[in-house]
Amino acid sequence: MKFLSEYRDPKAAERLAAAIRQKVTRPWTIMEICGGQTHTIVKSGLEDLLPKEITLVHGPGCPVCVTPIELIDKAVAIAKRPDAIFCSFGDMLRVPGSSKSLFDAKAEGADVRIVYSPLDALKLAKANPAKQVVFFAVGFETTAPANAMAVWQADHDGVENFFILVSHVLVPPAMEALLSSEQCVVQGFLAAGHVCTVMGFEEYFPIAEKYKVPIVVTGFEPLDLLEGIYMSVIQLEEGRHQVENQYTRAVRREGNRPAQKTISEVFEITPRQWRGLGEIPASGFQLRGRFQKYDANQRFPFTGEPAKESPECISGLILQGLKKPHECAAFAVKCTPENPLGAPMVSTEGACAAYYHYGRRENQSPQPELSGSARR
Amino acid sequence: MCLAVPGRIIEIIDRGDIAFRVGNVDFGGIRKEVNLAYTPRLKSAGTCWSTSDLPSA
Amino acid sequence: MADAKINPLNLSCPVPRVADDRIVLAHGGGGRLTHQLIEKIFLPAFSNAALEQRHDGAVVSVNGARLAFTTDSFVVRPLIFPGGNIGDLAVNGTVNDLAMCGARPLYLSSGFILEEGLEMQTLRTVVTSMQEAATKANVKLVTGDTKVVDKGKGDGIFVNTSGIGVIESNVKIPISPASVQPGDAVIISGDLGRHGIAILSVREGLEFESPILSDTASVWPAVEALLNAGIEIHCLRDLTRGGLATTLNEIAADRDVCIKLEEALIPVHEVVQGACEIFGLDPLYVANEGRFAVFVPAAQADAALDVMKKVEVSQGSVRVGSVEESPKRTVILQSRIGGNRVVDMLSGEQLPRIC
Repeated sequence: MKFLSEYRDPKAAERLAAAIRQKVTRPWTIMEICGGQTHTIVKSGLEDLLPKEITLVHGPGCPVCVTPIELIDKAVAIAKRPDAIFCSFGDMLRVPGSSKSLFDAKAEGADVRIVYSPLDALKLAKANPAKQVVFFAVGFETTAPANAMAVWQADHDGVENFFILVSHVLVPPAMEALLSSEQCVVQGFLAAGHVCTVMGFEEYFPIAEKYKVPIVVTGFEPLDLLEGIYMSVIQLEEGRHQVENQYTRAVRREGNRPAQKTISEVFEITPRQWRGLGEIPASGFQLRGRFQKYDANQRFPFTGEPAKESPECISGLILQGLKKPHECAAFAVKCTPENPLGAPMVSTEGACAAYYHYGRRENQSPQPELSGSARR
Repeated sequence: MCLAVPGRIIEIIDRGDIAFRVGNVDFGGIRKEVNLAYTPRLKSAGTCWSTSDLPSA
Repeated sequence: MADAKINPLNLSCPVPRVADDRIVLAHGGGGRLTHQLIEKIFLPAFSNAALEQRHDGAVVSVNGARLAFTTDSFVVRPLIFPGGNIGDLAVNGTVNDLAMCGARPLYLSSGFILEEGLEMQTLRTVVTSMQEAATKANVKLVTGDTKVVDKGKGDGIFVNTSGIGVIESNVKIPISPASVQPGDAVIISGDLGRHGIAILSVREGLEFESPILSDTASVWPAVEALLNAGIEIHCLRDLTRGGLATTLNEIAADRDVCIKLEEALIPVHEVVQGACEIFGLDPLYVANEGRFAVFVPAAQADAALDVMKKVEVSQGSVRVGSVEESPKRTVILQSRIGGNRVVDMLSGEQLPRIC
């Protein structure tokens, strides 16, 4: 595909890999935040091209993985209502709640549908006026503009049977939470490219300054990731900690202003629970003002049992990059994609699922543990 | 939605408010309607454009 | 009820956990759960030597003649799609299962389960297609059955076809995973993903500049050509539900070997690739209805390719990899940029990747 295959060119990949190998003089740990980036890294076997000094860790880059278990339970409860049509992106269907997933609910007769856009869910609402149509609005800032637009259009068109169940999480607060932790081993960040397409990257300057970490806004194709890693490595070797943009073809410093405007009309910032990490202040969106009438959370009050997590799931440590999936005792033994104990094994962009599917199993020796704080 | 797929705009259809502006976009042989509310500077067809997050119209 | 029936497209069916007490859509996906169902329920109940072969069809001996016997059911939705309809699939699917045993397809049966309210014209279209496909494949539909179920209890049309073929004397060694050897070349008969994307295009209302057509076709001519040319075929397998990845995983597991693939060699049409990009699908897992993989000794790979390229249904044949000793029971792909990854078995059906 034009403009796509160029970013997967093997010769260019080898040149970048060689450049990285040349530049590196000591071990560095770099974290990427977005599940899409994890996916590309593992799918293209990118780590095989990197020198052993570079350790890539995968951050909480999967909004599916960090959606609190209570919200899954709520989604299931709504889906089971006979008057409801529950719409979601495919990934969310598999995530286990306390007792079941949305997909289990579908198997038991709930009207659960996969859509590719919240605007499709809105269409369903207009076509089914007797039903309550609810869309599971999960994602980083990346999906917020579309969700905001769906709600805005619903309001404009006077639609009354459309709702969204919001689970938006914001990347910069999560990065701060990770960096401020005593156990943090991350020395450089690849910032999530599409989050920055929407939000720009102004927010990252104070973070880079405060924690003295280079942050490179990076894209999603193999060459993007190699280039982002290369730019990080140069900074690390030279002792710099700046914000740079690798993904210039899709990201501007100020981001997408019309999208930000619609987001701020429809949403406001709120503290949020991150499954595996706990509550992070000012790290989520919720509907505001006159748009609150589209909030599924308010429309369908939920009195269920308190949520229970599996005691064996160490997703919190995985999401912070402190452990790799194959270092979990349950990995590929008790916890598999067919029988997941936690969200990172379920979502196709969860680190555990990526490791499981793309091969880091018994035939891969675990990475050596970094002792204490490896930061400069 | 972390999918970035380049597409070529074949035509732009305005439906009143910019929120309802859609484009007929060609993605390597596949045509899809894409909401263009967030790309107001797009004036005409034939532009090559990289789309992430595809809200379909 | 929502759009529930899917064959053979992997679009929407995730696996949350082992649903021990109920059938879920994933059980029909062709991946892990399907295999578990077969291992846990069907094989223990029906166990016999022929069934244990776990191949596309059963090879049985009757009074000295080697026959292949197979059955397949077709539940595709939509019934009619670009490039064909459920009738084409029903004939070609079973013809191909026989071909995968190295058997010349001869006779088919077909059982119809029709839903009350189905338009007669639709049935006519399907049946006409079946007759045309059968003629093209040189098989006869010799017996059948029809049932009608209440409205709402079917999906328009469900079809089952069973088939008999004869394994001729030019098949010297059994064509089955058991004959696969480390060192064998892996060849596929054409580009991947057309059928799955053709189905997807209808379900998702995709528009194409020039439509992607299902590749449904009888592959027997290609197999026949290989047999006539004296190529030593170790194994044949069609690439239907679950795609190339599933097929190769099955063989690697059956035979305790490793299969290594090179991504750069695997052909996928640009538009099919584009559709996969948009929906986050991996072409390796998308269903095909007119493609197969063949395992031959490495020394015969070039000759096999020569033969296959001269046959219309396999003119796009290409070698995509090799069989190796280890790591056992694993399919490994070298990506375009040179890194390696494991190509795993699907857990359920392929979900579009969505962040």
